[in-house]
Amino acid sequence: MKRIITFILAVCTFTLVACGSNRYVLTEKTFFLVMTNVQYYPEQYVGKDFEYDCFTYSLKDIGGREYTCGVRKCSAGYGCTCGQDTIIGFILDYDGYIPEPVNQSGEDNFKTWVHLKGKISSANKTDIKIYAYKDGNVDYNTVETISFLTFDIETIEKINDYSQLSFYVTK
Amino acid sequence: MANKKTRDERIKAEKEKKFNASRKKLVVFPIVGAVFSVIALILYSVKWAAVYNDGYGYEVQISGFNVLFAALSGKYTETAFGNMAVPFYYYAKNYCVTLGVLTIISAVVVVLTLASQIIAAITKKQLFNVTSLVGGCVSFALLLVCFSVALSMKNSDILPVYCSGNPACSIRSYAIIPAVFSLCAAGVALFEVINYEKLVKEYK
Repeated sequence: MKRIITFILAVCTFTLVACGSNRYVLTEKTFFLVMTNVQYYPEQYVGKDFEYDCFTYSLKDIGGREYTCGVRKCSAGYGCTCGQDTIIGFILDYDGYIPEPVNQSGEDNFKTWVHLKGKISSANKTDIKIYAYKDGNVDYNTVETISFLTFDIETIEKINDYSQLSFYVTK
Repeated sequence: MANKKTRDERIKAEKEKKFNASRKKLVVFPIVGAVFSVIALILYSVKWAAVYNDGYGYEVQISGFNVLFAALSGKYTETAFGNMAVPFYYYAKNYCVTLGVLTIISAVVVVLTLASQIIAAITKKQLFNVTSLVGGCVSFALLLVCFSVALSMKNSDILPVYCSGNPACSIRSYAIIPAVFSLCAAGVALFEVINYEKLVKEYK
């Protein structure tokens, strides 16, 4: 009888987990999986609390408008090919100060890392038109359109020790 | 007359005794069959469907358990089920739903077959060896179809869209492995049934 109850509890627990959560705390292991899911099924994540580490990244559109994003780099085909880099993340919306990006396109961990808490308030993506890159230089003849969700920041903290974080994430 | 009757009864009792003694030896078959069924169940952990890149290895994959629990819960887009949400369900929705239904049914049949094998071993009732044989055959067929459906995802948008038509990418499935073990379980049950019938012919 005890074993049956334990089994039933285990099934219920799994079902609860499987039914989804209202809070997503992303780790190095889950960052790419969850972020990819968010890009493909944004409506599922609207209103949910998110907490994750990322580095700040500045995107400038063809009109000169700048968007500050919270991203990590990833391989082509999974994230957004944002001209020079392939990144996955969000446009950041915050009333306060967001630390300036540093070495955003560099192939190392030296960047402006931040710990963010907040929500995705809308499943609507913002289309940002940027110039493409060709052979390492801006190609003003080619325009790419990147669609990003917006992340509403509730709290932001700069991370000073980012040695355990990876700027590049894979599946 | 009385002596003949007594002799006939003694002969019949002897035959019955030999039959039962030989019958007892057959109990090893449902036990072995149960082991194969347990292995088949454990092997739901293998890659049911995967995208393989010749230069990179396995890019994304879903196990039989991922498919089973995604289908049972109906939550194909949750991150709890590996890469089910993306790319499999997003780019091959109908295939995933079909695969989910087949995986559930196959798992139920494997479990029922296992139960039948255990009951056969304990009770020694021949009916349960026959049901084990049927269950083994049905689960083999279902798992074979799961394998086929998984491979047919190559016709979905996964390769041309998600993989951008990269010729190095292909769809792979290992659902054939638990299918083989279900077939082994069926084979063992068949062997038992054949041997039982031989015993019956010999002693009855």
